[in-house]
Amino acid sequence: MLHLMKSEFIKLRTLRSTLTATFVLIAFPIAVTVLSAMFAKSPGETMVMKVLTNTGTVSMLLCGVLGVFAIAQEYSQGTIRITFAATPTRMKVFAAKAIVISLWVAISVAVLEGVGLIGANYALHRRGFDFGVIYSPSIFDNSSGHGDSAWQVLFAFGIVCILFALIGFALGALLRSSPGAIATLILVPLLVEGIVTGLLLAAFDIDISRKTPFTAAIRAVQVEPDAARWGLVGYFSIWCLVITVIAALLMKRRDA
Amino acid sequence: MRVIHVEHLTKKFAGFTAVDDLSFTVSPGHVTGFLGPNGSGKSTTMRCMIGLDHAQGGSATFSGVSYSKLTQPLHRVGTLLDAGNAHSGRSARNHLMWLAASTGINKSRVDTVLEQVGLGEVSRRRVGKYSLGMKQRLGIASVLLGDPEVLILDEPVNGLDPEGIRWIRDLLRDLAKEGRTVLVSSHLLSEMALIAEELVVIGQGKLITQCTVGEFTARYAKQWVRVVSPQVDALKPLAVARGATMSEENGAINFHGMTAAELGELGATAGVTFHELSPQTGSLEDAFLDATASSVQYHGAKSEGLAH
Repeated sequence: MLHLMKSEFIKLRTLRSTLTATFVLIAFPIAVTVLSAMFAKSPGETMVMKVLTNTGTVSMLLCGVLGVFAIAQEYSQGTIRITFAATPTRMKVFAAKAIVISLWVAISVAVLEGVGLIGANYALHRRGFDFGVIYSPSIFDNSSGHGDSAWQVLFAFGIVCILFALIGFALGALLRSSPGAIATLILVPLLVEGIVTGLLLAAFDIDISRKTPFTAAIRAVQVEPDAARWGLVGYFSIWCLVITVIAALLMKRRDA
Repeated sequence: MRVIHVEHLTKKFAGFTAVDDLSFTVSPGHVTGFLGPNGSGKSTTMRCMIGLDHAQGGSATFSGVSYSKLTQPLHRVGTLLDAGNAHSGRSARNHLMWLAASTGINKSRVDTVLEQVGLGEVSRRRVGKYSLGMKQRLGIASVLLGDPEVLILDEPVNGLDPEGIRWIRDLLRDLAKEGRTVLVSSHLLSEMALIAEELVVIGQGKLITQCTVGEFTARYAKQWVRVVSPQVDALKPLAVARGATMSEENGAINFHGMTAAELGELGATAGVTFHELSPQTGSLEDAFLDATASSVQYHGAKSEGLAH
């Protein structure tokens, strides 16, 4: 299994598309957060965390795109046949890919969060503000009703990014096409969930706005979520698990 | 591990049977050509052999073990199914690096095989910049990476220049001489005749024959006798009376249905002088076309038809 994971790591680190997506997912929230700390009129812990997690939505989607790349490019480029010829036990390949992309995203998000907060802290100090997230992470200046600490927000954000990567990976394995999987990954949370929710509400007076999976994931990483944070993360995890299991079973059954 | 047994292999796609109850054996020590017209099921058979496609029936085993049960298959069976199966954005060296890492093959082996196939100097160039011939060489490098006992290659000479074709021909022969099992598919019998000693010929997914190249020629190639004689007109009715047919070619008459000895004896009794009396054998290409004529799936238009 370690050999396979090493192989998957080489695949990720030797492609420009993967490295570019990783750079953007790390750099974009860092840049926006640090700039906010530099120029905001009334900065504080909550503001910095809100900027980081809100701009981090782009990073979440990019984590999903990385997940798509990890598998769909293998199908589009034909390397999946070499991969399966080298390792006929497809579930091992699936597991190795899922673990490596999860670790890749986890490390990327840790860098994003760490550098973003340290950068914001540095910018605020230069302006004479005493920024407290790093020093006293359990207290926000405007605490949410759920009593979450900054660490919980950061941890939830990391988990959701990993789940996005896994769901992207599963969609890539199901659709075997990068454009198709990426379109699904972006359109469902940004468009489809909203349209379906609106239609059901208008036509049948059924409100599913609190049950749509991607919306739940985005709500889960808000500094002040409108529901229990870990309940939302758990709900999105179940969706990810179901889609990932279906993708794994189909990968085993389908011709390569 | 060296003998390949394919037994009653059947693969169906929606609407048609690509491989139909196919059985053959491939032995070590010589190159076996896997021949068939385009669309005859060669590639599908190879994909089923290594478990990429799931067969509906039958089996393919490597000395009794199915591919999916092999431990570290790269060391047992090297396969080249499509030279294009490499990410265009990755360098050749990195392509082989991940493949080597997947089964714990040493990094130094990657450089060795890249040198062996002649890509050492361009190994850090992206595969997307490679010509088809270079991609074929990279594919061969991936086959050799695990130093396998069995090699399965699908149309390996496609896109290669004459030097490349000669190189791969010599390489495959040498690998077979080392006692390895080499199965090479092609739709070009002329190429196979130069590489292979044994042939497995299929058409529409079914086995047509498995034999040596010599046996194939004897069984399927047309044979006739070329005659040049000032008294050939005297010979014609005698030959027709014995069931022969004739055709004219550049001043000579080709007699079909009689041997050179029979025609010689017939001519002697009739006082015919021969300037030439030579047995002729049709090309392997013609023999292949004859053998697979009923199973060609995709026919091209005749040239005279295209002219209109």
